[in-house]
Amino acid sequence: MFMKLKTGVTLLDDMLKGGLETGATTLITSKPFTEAAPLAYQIAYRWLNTGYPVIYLTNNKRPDIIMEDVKRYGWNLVKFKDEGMLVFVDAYTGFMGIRSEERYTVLNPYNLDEIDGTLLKAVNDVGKRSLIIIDSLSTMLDHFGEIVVEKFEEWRRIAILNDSHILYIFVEWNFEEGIKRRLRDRVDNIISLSPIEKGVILSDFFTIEKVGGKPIKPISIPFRYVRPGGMKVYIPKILITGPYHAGKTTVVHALSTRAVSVQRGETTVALDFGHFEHKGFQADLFGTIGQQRFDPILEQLGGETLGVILVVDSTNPSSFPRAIEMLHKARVYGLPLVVFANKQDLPGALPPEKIRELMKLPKDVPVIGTIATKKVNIIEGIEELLKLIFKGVSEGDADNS
Amino acid sequence: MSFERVETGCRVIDEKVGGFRRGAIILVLGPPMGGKRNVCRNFIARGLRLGDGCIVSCTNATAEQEHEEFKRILGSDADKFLSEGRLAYIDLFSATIGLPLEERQYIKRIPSASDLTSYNVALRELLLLMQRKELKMRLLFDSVSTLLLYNPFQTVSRFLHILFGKLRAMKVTSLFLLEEEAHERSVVVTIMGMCNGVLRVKSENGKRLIKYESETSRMNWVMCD
Repeated sequence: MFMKLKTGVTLLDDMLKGGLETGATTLITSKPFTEAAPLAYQIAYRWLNTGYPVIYLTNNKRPDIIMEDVKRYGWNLVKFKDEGMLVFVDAYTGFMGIRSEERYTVLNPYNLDEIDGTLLKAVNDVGKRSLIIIDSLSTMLDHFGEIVVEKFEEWRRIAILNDSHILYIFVEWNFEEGIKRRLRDRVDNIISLSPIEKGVILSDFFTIEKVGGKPIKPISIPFRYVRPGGMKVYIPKILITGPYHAGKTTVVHALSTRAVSVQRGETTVALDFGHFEHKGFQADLFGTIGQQRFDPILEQLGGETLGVILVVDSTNPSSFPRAIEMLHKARVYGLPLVVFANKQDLPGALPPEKIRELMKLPKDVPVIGTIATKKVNIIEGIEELLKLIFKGVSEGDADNS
Repeated sequence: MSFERVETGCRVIDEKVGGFRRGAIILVLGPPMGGKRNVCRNFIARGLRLGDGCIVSCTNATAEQEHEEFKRILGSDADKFLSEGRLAYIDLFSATIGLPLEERQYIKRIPSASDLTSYNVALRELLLLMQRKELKMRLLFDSVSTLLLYNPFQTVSRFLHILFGKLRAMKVTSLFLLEEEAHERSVVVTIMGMCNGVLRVKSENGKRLIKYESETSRMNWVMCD
């Protein structure tokens, strides 16, 4: 009877083993400088588009503001609202003393029973297989304290009886550890959102901590919210390195939707920079310089790298030791690595397996024959790298199956 | 140990206590109509003149209304500072009065005074933009009283605790306004305890008086220009 619905974020769906299941509950928990609401919008939009209703309880902003905010991400909810597929339970405007336009309005939002009752009425009216979003649990805890945690079992029953899914939005202000632990214990899935900080906040990542009631080995995936577009998995940096004249610049350009190179003649003298977008993935590409006199820059570029493409000239085995040396200099040895055995179209090019042998590369490093000038195997190559970077995802599953 | 000081835009504070410590969080208190907003706006205007990046958070006026005030002080330079990203606004008011939340690069609008996460996310974005330009930074938050109107005290104190930590870490010299008389004593004392300094502003017989106390310096009531 229960079914699974996708969130619309491919990697998240993989980690959740297919999406969010009805009859279950999910906690999206975020650090105070990271937003959870856009992810909830994305899931809501997906749910509605699949043909099932969404009930959105808000206690910290007006429903029309939410509609407007969602629109900025490129999703129009008006149609769904007009059709009655999307309903708001307005537990906010009561605080402001303004009259609400919504059918389900909590007149006194300081009364938890009234919130509860209004929500239940909406759930009964709207029917089964709905997604119930509670935005936010943290505000509820601020107003009512720990008693909210006691409600969890009751709400969970509602989810099961109505074959629905409840999504709690929770911001981790300094709540008591005990409360946080009890919240975490009482939900089926936990998606946590945290920033990557280096003084300022550079980026965010999400982690799935629990699926189907079982904790899983946490794996962190960097993401960005894009307007329009919503949550996009984002890789801060992929380094493209290799000896002089191996074809790095051509690879960067072949992969990039936009790219910049600083060159003198045919040789890159500063760096290549590109941006890569493919199947919902985004990455910044940094190409290094092959000549030895630029080695000091290598180490600088290596920082924050999540994955490496090593480009070698398949016709020039004497450059292979230099290729390995460059990995060490960039301090990226041990990171996910794919070797592009480039210039496969030229006479005398060694086959990928021969190159693996000569470079003494471990079995788990893919060596891919490429022709960068003709874009042959370039996309396939970076897909291999992405698989390695996100390999932990399937491993996490395997550990618990 | 000596701290880096910042000019306050108020000559008497600069002369008597050497300005504010860079990265300090200062609570600004005073009765209504006492002139505390003027002191705060001068602090921002001085920062802009010195080349700092300034973020003004307004809960009682729209960004446009607040910008008019800065135009009065800075003239057409105010527009220039806004367009080059040295002056930015976080507007928590527009949503409250039902205006559309039209965003510009340096004007962020927050869905409600209860959506404090959205405030943080907007601030984070502006801090990152200014940090990338290697600007020294100032912040004005006008006012904490509005937050207390729409949120339980515990929510506001949790928010401020986390926000202050971030601002100190990034050395953003910050002024937070509070309408002292609108709140219980315990509320004021708790917030005071979280700050590095307290600036009091009042008006007597048409003259503006200020008093400043911090962990390191103290200045009794004096007349302020």
